[in-house]
Order: sequence, then structure tokens, then C-alpha cells
Amino acid sequence: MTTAVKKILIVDDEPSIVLSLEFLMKKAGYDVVTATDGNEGLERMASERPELVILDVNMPGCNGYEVCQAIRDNPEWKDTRIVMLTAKGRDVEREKGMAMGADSYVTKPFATKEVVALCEQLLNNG
Amino acid sequence: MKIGESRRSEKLVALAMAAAVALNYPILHLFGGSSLVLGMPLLYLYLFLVWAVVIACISWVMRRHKLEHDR
Amino acid sequence: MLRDWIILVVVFSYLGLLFAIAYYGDKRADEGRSIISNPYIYALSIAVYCTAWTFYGSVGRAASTGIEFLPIYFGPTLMMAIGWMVLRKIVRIAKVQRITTIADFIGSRYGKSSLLGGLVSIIAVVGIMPYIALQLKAVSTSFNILHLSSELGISSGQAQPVFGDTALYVALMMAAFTILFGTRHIDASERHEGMVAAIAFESLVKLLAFLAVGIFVTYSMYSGPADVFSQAAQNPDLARLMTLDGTTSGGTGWLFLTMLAMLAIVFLPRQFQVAVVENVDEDHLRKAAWLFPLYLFIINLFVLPVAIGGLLRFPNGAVDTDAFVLALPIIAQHDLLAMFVFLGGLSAATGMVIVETIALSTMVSNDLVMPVLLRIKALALPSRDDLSGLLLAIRRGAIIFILFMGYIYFRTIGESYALVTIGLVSFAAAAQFAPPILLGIYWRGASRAGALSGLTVGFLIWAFTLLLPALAKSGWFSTDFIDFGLFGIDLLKPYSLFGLSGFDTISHSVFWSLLLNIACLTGVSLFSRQSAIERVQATVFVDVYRQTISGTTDLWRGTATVSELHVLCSRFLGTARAEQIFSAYAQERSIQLYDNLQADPILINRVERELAGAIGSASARVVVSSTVKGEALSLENVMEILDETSQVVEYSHRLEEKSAELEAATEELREANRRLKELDQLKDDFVFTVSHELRTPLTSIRALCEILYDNPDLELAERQEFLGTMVKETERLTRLVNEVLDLARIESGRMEWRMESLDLRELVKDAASAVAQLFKERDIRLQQDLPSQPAIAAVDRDRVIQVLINLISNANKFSEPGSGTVKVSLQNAGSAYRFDVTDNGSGIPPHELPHIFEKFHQVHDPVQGRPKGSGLGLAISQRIIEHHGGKIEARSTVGQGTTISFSVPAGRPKDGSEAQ
Repeated sequence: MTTAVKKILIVDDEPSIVLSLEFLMKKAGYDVVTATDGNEGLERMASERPELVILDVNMPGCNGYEVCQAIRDNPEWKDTRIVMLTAKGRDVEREKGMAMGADSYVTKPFATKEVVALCEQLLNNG
Repeated sequence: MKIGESRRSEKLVALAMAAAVALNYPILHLFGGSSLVLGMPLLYLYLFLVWAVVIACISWVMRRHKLEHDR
Repeated sequence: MLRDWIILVVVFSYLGLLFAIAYYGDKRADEGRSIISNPYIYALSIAVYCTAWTFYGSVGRAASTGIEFLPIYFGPTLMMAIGWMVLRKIVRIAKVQRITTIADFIGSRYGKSSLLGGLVSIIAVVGIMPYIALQLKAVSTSFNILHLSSELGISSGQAQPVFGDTALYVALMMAAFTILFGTRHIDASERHEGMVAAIAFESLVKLLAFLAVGIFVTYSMYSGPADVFSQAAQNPDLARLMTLDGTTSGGTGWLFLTMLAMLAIVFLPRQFQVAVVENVDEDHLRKAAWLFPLYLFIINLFVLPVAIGGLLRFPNGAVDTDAFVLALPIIAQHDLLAMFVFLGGLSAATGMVIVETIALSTMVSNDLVMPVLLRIKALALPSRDDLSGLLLAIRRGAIIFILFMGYIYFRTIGESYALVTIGLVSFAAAAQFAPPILLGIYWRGASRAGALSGLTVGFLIWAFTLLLPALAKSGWFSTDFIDFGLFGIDLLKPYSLFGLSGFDTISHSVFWSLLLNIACLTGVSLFSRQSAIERVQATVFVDVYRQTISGTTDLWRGTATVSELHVLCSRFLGTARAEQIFSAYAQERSIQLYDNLQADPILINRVERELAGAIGSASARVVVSSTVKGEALSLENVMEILDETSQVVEYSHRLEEKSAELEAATEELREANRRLKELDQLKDDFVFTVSHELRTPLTSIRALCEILYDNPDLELAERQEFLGTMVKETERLTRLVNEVLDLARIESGRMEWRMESLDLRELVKDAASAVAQLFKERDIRLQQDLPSQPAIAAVDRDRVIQVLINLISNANKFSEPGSGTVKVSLQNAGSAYRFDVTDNGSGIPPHELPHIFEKFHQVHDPVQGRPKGSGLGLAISQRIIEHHGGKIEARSTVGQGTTISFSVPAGRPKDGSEAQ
């Protein structure tokens, strides 16, 4: 069994968040590709085929839900894990995200260790 | 009119009639002479005297017959 | 000799004093603390009976006919004794029925007849005219004597040019005085407390003045009364005066004179005014019954001695006997006493004129003019709003007219007759009122027709036997009818009517006029039928002591609402008095008066009576009947129907309005509810957005923090990058927090504004230097276009700079590095200063332009990517500018650039926030 390096796609319109997430994931040993808006994110999906996508919910234009839905609509990507980045305290967002087919969620501001742990868990559970 | 009132009125009427007589001609003629009493003309004296008496009488009747509804 | 100006100064000071007393009296009356409410003042006010006639004329009469001056004063004394009860009844009726003039009394008694009221007014004016002329004559004569005291030899019989002028001035002065005294406002009860106080004072002055001169003549010029009389006894002419031989009218004359005076003391309009209308307390009558005769007694004590003294001193008719009272002190060089005497005479004359003209003018306005005006439909008086002004104007006009008539009479006739003769003519006129009143208050059967005929006949005879002959003798027309009778009929000679001769003119006239007056009154009454209202009024008058709620209760068969009556009252009496009347009524009956309640007949009557006080009972009836639907005079039917219709229409309008109002209110409530929900939602959105915006930088700060912490051996370059990012994010966070706080503070009004007068150019320069670094970094030029004159305005420095920085940095963001230029210009635009921040960047798309000032709105620049602001900057700027009273707006063309302009008013900010 080839333990290929897993790829993670980070889709967030905040550069500084992308920066920190990228570092974290790279440090954890993953390949990282980034996108700064929803459309770009879908493009990256198609071209990079990541195993996991970290999606920010609040993005202008094509927002996180739409991307999530798009991913889930595509049968080819049904195995991709999706993690939503939400704001705390808005249950509706979380529920909506889960209903869309996300696998988990992280509230902002997040603890770095937790995000890494979550991703690893999702990825190792095949 | 109550008793007191009519009493009062009666007296006043009587007084007025007496005065009318006393101050009018028939009686006046009695004093019409040209005599001087105490240096004053008799008629003059008489008239003023009677007048004073009448006034005093009116005053007396009014005071005497002060009724409840007067003040 | 007294100089003119001294006399005038004294006169005007005295008049001023009288006015002050009157003013004080009225003021106290308004406060409810009447100063005239005591019997002594009441008696003194009745003493207005003693006019200049008493003051000057008694002596004059005594000098010619001896003691024949006395009956004029015996009469009132007798009247007080026997007529006191009559007077009391009259006073009671007047109070209950709110009667304020003699014309009203008569008119009211005989069925509220305005015809009768008008007739009485005419008779009164014509009859009193001579009396007023008499006063004018007395004052002008005495003034002239005082003035030309060195030429006492000139008899006042000669017409002198200065004479006429004096009398005219006197008449004018009296008119002005009377208008000031009596027509300052319309009082429904027609009471003039100030006037009463003033004339009581005058009565005192004239009494003292006359006593002074009497004592002076008797004890100073002579050695006592005995001396006077004994000197007189030596002269047969003079001795005559002390006995009955001096009299010329004989026994019947004496009797008639007494009788006439008895009537005059009550029925002269001025006597009616002071004794009946101005009466404060019925009980005062008791004391006045002997106090007033006492006054007469005292003032007459020295008449004869003065007369004789005068005759002794001026034996040859060199001085008019009427002038003795004044001439004697002058001749004795007692100027001060002469002045005092003059003032006494002036008091006597002005007292009479004031009261008489006020009484007459009230009659003319209430019983003569108003009824006529009310009947002229064109004027539509009952529906006018405020008639008290009109009433006052009519009264003032009447006063002037009456005095003018008096003056005319004086000029044409007055000089030919002695004072006393003139006065007695007026007495005889006033006497005509006696039969209708005296019979009216004791005999229910006296009818209107009877009164009308009696008065007319009596007046005509009076005119024929006294007035016309006097006019003829003064040259107005031929005296033939005096000598040969009317139309040559012997029996119609004015001085011996129907062959009755041997009487003096006065007695003759009084006899015939009163006889025929009474005869017609009783005869016609017995054979005529009374109308319903006549009968009612007759009962009301005759049985006044028996009724507790006086006035008719079932006369008004019509209906009216409380508010209609209220409006009617206000029109004539003013809103304050109307309010008083209605609340007093409600209190008395312990009921509530609602506007649309049917007014009960008692209230209608009350209203009618109150109105009668102001405009006379006949007019009051007309006016109330036009409001009360039901029994109404035909003339008012149309008015009433219109009135009613408009009332109904108005009422339904009001109803409609009310329900519309109600609906509107409900709608408003719903709207407000909706808005509240919206705001609530907005608040939630705001909170959410703010928290989200805050979270974002927090997230990266935390994450980067943790990374740095967990990876101590990070590469320097990377470490620096992270730290730099963190710093920027911290700044961003701070900025955001500040902006949110600013916005919250501005919106909740808790922002502290510090307004000062500043030169706006400085602010631009400061803002420019603050962002200079930013511009340098991005290689964008910043230009300033400022005026050469200082631009002073009252602004909050920090806030305006904040706005400028916000706008300039926005412009910076949207500009191209290198080619970008941002221009800031400041212009004077009249009452405001205008800032323009222009960039040549990418511009704002038209669909976003209206929204840029909204909270959290961020313009998305496709080139720059995610904007770095919070979206609050413009919102805050807008609020800041609006707080200054200015406006902010944006213009943009995509691809060419954007201009954001805002204005600041020059001078003070609109909301006066300097105080904060």
C-alpha cells in the first residue's frame, strides 16, 4: 500500500488564515494547495484532486456552501473529506454545512492543534 | 311679608304721610309769618327742624325693625 | 385772580385723582374685594342727585323765590320713607332679572319688548339732554368767573365767544372722561364699582365745599345766621324770601315739586343706575334711607343764608344769582376757597354727567341700537364671534352723541334760562317712567299696549308743554302756538292745556302728562289682552319675593345643546365669563354638563338672563331664540335652520375625522411594530457581522501565534513573515473595534463632539500628512487644492480628519499604483464649505454606488481581491458629516474614477451640539 502524501485544499479568502493553515498542514506532512475564492477552489478540486478540503463558509461570491454542494454533487469526489470553517455560535451554519455533506467543522478562531488532529483523523480513517 | 316687615312698612307709610302733611302748604301757612325766632326766620327754622325729625324717625324705624334677613 | 394755568392744573389733577380712585375701585372689584360695599358709600353715591343745579342753582333759586328750593329735597326724603319698600322691590327685581337699565326694566316687564325699550331710551335721551346742558353751563360759567374774576360785573347772560369755547372743551373733556370711566369693558352685570367710588368721593367733596362756603359767608362775611337774617329783614325784598310770600308757585306748585322730586330720585336714569343697578347689597338700602336725606339736610343748611348774603353783597343783579356761591369768596379775595368751591361745583357736574351718560349710553346700545342691528339679517350678528367690541363701540359713540346733544342744547337754549328751570324740565321727563314701573310691579294686569300708549302720550304732552315752548322761545320757531294754541286752537295752549291755567309751567306739565300717562296705561291695559310672555313677565315682576328659582321655567319649548348655548354665551360675554356661568350652573345643580346634552329650560333661562345683562333682555331673547330650536321668532328661522344643518354636518364630519384618526393610529402602531421587528433583525445581523469581522483577524492572530509558539526553530524569514502578518492583523482588529465603537457611539448619541471654530484648510493638510506614508508606499500622488482665504467653520477636528483620512485612503485603495492621483479640494459654496476627494481609479459600479455608505458594505475590486476594510468607514463618515449638518455623496464612472464630496455648513452646526 503506497502511503501517498495526502493533499489538502484550503479555500479561504483571508490570506492570513490561508497562510497559517498552509504552514500547519505542511508541517503535518501534507501537500497543500490553496484557493482564495470558491470558483478557484472548484478549479483546484478538479486539477489537484485533494483528499481533504478545508472550506471557509463566509466567502464573497461563491461561498463555502455552494462549493460544498458542488463537491458532493460530483460523484467523482465523493470520497473527499470536507471540513467547514464556521463562526462560533451560529448553529444554523453548522447544521447547514453538515446537511450539505460536510464531514466536520471547525469554529473560528480555532486551536491549531485541533485542526491538525481533525484532519489527520479524517484522512486516516480512509 | 312677615309681621315685622309689615309693621315696619306701616310705620314708614305713616311717617311719610305725616311728613307730607307737615311739610306742605296748609300747615306751612301757620308758620308763614315774618317773625324771627332767635334771629332766624320762623319758616326756615320750622322746615329744617321738621326735616331733621323725619330723618331721625326713619333712622329709628330702620334700626328698630332690623329683621333676620337684613344684616 | 387765579391764573388760567393754575386753574387748569388743579382741574386736571383733580380729574386725575378721580380717575385713580375709579381705577382702584375697579381693580379691587376685580379682585373680589369691593371697596364700595358699605351703606355710606351707597348713600354718597345716591347723592349724585345733587348736581351743579344743587350746588349753584339752589342758591340762585333761593335768591329769587326763597324757600321754594326746598321741595326738591323734601321729595327724596319722603321717597326714602314711603318709597323705600318700592325701591327695595325694584332692586330685587333688577338683580334677579339681570336688569341693567331703566329701559330694560320697562321693556322686560312688558313682555321683553324691544319696542318699549327703544321708546324709553329715546325719551330718556331727549329728556335728559337739558339736564346735561345745565351741567355744561354751570361748569363753563364757573370756570369763566374764576378765570375772569376781576370782571365780575359782567353778567353771564351776555354771550361771549370765550363762553362757547369753554363749554365745548368742557363737553369734550367730559366725554373723554366718561368713555375712560365707563366703557373699558363689557360687564354683564353693568356694574361699575370704580365709577361708584369716584362719585361717592365727589359727593363728599361737594358737600364739604358747599359747607365751606356756607360757613365762610355766614360766619366770616357776616357774624352768623342771625346777622344775615336780621340784615335781610331790613330789606322788604329780601325779607320776602324768608317767608312764604317769596314763593311764586303757590301750594300746588310746592306739592307738585315735592312729588316730582320723589319720582326723580328713583326714575332719573342716573339715579336708577346708582340706586338700583350699582347696588351691592339690598341691606344697604336700610341705612341709605336716612343717610341720604341727612346728606341733603346738611348740604341745604346754608343755602338761604348764602343767597341772602349774595343779594346783600351784589344788590343790583350785577352778578347772576346762580353764581353767588363762587362769586362771594372771590370778591372776598379768598382764592383758595374759591378754588375749592369751583372743585365742588365741578364734582357736582362731572358726577352727574358721568353717571347719566353711562346710563344713557348703555340704554342706547342695549335697547335701541342692538335690537335694530340684530334684526338686520345682512349683518348676521348672532353668528359673529365676538360682539363685545361692537357693543363698546356703540356705547362710546352714544356717549359722544349725548354730550354733543347736550352741548347743542346749551348753545341754543341754555343761556336763556336759569339752571333750575332747565333741570325741572328733565325731572318732568323722567317722571313719565314712573307709571309703567310703579304700576307694573304691583299690578299684573298692566299690559304692553297700555305702557306703550301711556308713555307715548305722556312724552308727547311733556314735549308739547315744556320742550317745544322752550325751543320756540329761544328762536327755533315761531312762538305763536304758545300764545294762540296749536293750530290756533285755544285749548291746546302749551301753558294752559285744556284751559287749565293758573299753574306754573312745571306743575302744569307734570299734571297733564302724568294724568294722561296713567289714564292710558290703565285704560288700555284693562281693555287689551296680554300675550303669554307678558303674563309670565308680569308674574315674575310682581311676585318676585315669592319665587326661589326666578325666571320662567317653561317658556322655552325649544331645545338647544349645552355647547350651542356655551358658544352663544361666549360670543357676547367672552369665553371666560361663559365658562364661569356654565360651571357655576353645573355646580349648583350637582350635574355634569356634556357638550351634546340637551340644555334644560332652566339653563336656557339662565343663559338668557346673563345675556340680558349685557345686551338687554329683548335682544337676549332674540338671540337665544335663534339658537333654541323650537319657539323662535320668524326672522331667525332661516338662520336657525342653517345653523342646525351646519351643526349636524359639522358633527358628522367630526365623527368621520375621529374614526379616520383612529384608523391612522392603528396603522401607525402596526407600522411601528414592523419596524421594531426589522430593527431587531438588523441588530442581530449587525452583531453577527461585527462578530464575524472580528473573528477573522482573531483567527489568524491566534493561529499564527500558536504556530510561532509550537515551532521555535522556525526560519527567520518565515518567522518574520508570520509576525508581520500578526501585527497587521492586530492592527486590523484594532481598527475594526474602533470603527464599531465609533459607529455605536454615534448612533446611540453617546459620542462626544468637540466643536471648535477651525480653518478647514488645516484639517486637510493634517489628514494628508497622516496618509502620506501610504501614498508613498503605493506610489500614488496626493494633490491638495485649497482656497487662499481661510475657511472657518465650527467642526469637530478629530472627526473631520477621520472622515478625510477615510475618504483619502479609500481613494488610495482604488487607485493604480504609479498612475494613480488623488485630489483633495476645498471650496467655498456660499453658506457651506465643500470637500471633494477625487481619484482616477477603477470607479464604483453603478449597482453598488447607492449602497456604499451602508454598514459593512465593501466594494469588490476585481483586481485587488478582497478589500481590506471593514466596510464601516464610509458609514461612519456619513454619520459624522450628517451630525455636522452637512451632506456626503458619491459620483463615479467605472474605469475613470470616483469623487466623494461632502459639505460642512459655515458657522454653527444645526443641532447646537456645542453644548455637549
